[in-house]
Amino acid sequence: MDTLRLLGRKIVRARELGPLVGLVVMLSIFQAINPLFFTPNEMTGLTTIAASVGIVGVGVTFLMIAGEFDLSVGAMYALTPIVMGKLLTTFGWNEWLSFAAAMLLAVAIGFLNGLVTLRLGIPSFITTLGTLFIVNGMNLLLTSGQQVEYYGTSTLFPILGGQLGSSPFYAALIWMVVITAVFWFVLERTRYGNWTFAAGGRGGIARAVGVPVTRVKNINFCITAALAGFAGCTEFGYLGSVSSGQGTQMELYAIVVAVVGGTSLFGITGTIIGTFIGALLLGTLETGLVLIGAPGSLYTSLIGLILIIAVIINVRLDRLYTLRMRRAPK
Amino acid sequence: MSDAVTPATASSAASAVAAQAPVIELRDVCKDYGNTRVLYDVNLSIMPGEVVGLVGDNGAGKSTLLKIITGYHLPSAGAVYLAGRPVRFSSPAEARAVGIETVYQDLAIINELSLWRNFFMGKELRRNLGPLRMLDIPRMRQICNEELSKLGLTRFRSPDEPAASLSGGERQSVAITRAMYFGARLLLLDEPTAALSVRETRNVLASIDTARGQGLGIVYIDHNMAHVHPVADRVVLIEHGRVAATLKRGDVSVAELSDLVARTHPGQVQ
Amino acid sequence: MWTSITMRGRAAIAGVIVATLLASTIGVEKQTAHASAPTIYVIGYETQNPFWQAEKRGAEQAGKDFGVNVIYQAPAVASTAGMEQLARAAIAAKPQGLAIDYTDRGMEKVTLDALQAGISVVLYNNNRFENTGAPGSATTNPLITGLAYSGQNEHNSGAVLARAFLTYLKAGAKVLIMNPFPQAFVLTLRYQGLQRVLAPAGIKTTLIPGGADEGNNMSLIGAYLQAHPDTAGVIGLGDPAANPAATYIMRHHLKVPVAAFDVDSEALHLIQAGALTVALNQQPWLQSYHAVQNLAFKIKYGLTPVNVDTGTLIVDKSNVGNLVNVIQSGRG
Repeated sequence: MDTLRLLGRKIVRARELGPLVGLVVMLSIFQAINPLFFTPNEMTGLTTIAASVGIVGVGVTFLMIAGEFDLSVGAMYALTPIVMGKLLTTFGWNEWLSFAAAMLLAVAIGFLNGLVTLRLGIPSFITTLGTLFIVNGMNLLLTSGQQVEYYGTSTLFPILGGQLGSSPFYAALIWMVVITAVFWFVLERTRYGNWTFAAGGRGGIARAVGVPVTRVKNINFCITAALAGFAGCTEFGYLGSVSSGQGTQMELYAIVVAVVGGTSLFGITGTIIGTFIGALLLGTLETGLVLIGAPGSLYTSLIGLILIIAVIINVRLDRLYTLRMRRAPK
Repeated sequence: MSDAVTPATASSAASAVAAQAPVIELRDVCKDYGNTRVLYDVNLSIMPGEVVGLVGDNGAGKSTLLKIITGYHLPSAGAVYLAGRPVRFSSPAEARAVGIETVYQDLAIINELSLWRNFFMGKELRRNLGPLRMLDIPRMRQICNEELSKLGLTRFRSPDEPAASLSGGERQSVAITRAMYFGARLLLLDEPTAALSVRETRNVLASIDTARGQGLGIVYIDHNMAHVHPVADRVVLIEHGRVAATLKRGDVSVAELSDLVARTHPGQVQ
Repeated sequence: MWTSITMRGRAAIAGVIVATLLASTIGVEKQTAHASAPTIYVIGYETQNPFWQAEKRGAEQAGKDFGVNVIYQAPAVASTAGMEQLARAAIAAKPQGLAIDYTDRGMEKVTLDALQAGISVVLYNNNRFENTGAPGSATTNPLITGLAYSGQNEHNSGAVLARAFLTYLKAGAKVLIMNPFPQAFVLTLRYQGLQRVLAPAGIKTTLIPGGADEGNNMSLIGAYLQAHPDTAGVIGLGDPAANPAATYIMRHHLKVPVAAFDVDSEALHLIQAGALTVALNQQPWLQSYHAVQNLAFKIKYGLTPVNVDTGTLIVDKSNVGNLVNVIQSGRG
């Protein structure tokens, strides 16, 4: 009974509870207005959107916790499948090699982000903003404005984005769940995760106790770029085509799902599960609004509203919690 | 945790101190930056269980001296001895590895993280789960619990709480306890009580006493004489790159000490 | 806030929420208001562009005229992926009709799913099935290629415009072409249509990419014209390129003819002023209007949807007067 109470306390104190409640409320509202919510097509739409932004979001969250930003994820989301598609179609490479090469490129760009930020001391916000523009230009150059398509036989494409049997769910959802689980484990249950938390601290506290902060941040930059590229490849697997405009504004949506999920913009505090929930929230919102026939422009405005509300709630909770702890000696 | 050493242990500690080598000793240490010499023939030794206050105005060479002790710089001349044996630290990591730890006033603890995460930061305990090595959280929580309970903190409830739930002084104590737990031999405390209230200060001083009782050497750096004087066994004044004075606590009052630093009243100089 | 509520209070709130969710699934129907009027979803390419705003208006007017409930949805950032997601969500709403802008094969699955769900589907604006048999055909599935289409033939429109523009060019002339949406395949089709006529006529063309922002495009075009003063003509593959080109030329009193692919109210003024020499009007308002009409007639009366070519009308100063009223009333 005591462990149950402890568990209950833990759940209620968790940062993820807020967005989870928000998700449940939103689902209830949409379902109440239009009971067609839990239908296969709706689930497909919801989970596809959630998976794309969720995978990118996990990478962004992991980096934000370590105290850095990556604004180039939207461009990476397009570049990686574009490179993969070009290698596959124009150069006739094997699809697995194309995929590996494209992912390697993503990691390399992430590494460059880290290098410029940490070696040259430029704020990651700026570095990755530059990368965003550079990679966007690369995308336009590589595609010359046309779509990159591949509809031939493939074993890789179904793995990346194919349908799961005859269910309304697609492979991207599995990937999102797996990636969430993996990174939750790394963050919360490994030494590297502890170091990631510490790297987000200011002033070199972590360094003072021997945490290899620079190395951790470098690795996290690579991870973020790789996850963004991978997410783009799952969409490539799903649609069979990719254009240079894909993933536009993804960097903003990724930050939104991270922050709504409970991750702080200032580092250290963050939750991978929260990002997962945030992604589901976004998918629910977008498809739900279409379902009830609301005007399309409402979606963007609502996202902004939800973001602000979520941040206000999180900040107040943090303050209240700390205050309450301070005020009450045992 | 007691706040006074009993007479019996005091005398045995004293004789033990007399028989032991200093925790750290600097002999004729000089430091040049390019063509400029910033430290001249510094001789300093710290015995186990001793608190040495290090004072001096900014630019006097204090920070350079500290950087040599903690392994950021190598001396340009002279030598550093650790427990009687000469050492050359090629990096701060090396100094840390042999037990030289610095506790900064505001850089010791990450407030948002839980106490156990803070306590074991950089020295996490791990166990195997099949092919994976994961954090041994139950054990870390338990040890953190034990160590912090010894401190008698009033606000401490669980090692899962964020460090922010403790007061400033308590966090300092945690940092000191952490250093001790991981085998520090020399503790450098940088203005540990600067931003603390009187009651909070007492917490920190209690931790310092515990450390002292365990035979650690302690360097206490501060501008404020009122902080240094009651704690330090000896006060070393650094001025213009030299050891200008070494005073035992009993030989000088707080006011005289302040004057000495401000150079308005020379007083007794060794 | 949250932490100031007691444990029991929090449990109570959680319970209320769960109860709401359960209750709603048991069947609290609210969606009966429009049960009588059929619902049609129209999925567009984007929301900002005046062209697409005209498409939205056309669809909505048709809804009023034919007594059907029209819901227009478009992604904030133009993309096939965005449209696909919205179309999928639309299917979940179980409408009676769905109008799809079939840009490429990425839309194939969702279109087939809509048909499978028993929804009537028509295509509009994007005719991906011209030149069937050409490489990269967007689908070979007869279920889709057989669907009714209302809109313009892109490739053909390029050729038509090029023929009209040739009368203003000398042999061997150099022409600048700007593509404001490099990722939009239809504009590439237009470009190919242009080339089909211009290349054999000995016209040399240079293609530069632009963006959705007219101000930016004007700077790019201006820079190009200054660097290449021997440019004899400018063609914009879409409004955001052609309009600033014409404006720039007018301001600098250059004698360079400009051709445009779409006519909005801004283009209208430019034609009247003589800055925009010749334009093609594909009548976007009419495209979506006909799409909705097709669906409405099928749903209500069981009629089969028909193909509608909304026009390859060449507009220049001589006949622009007719167009003025149409566009200014929002039916461009």
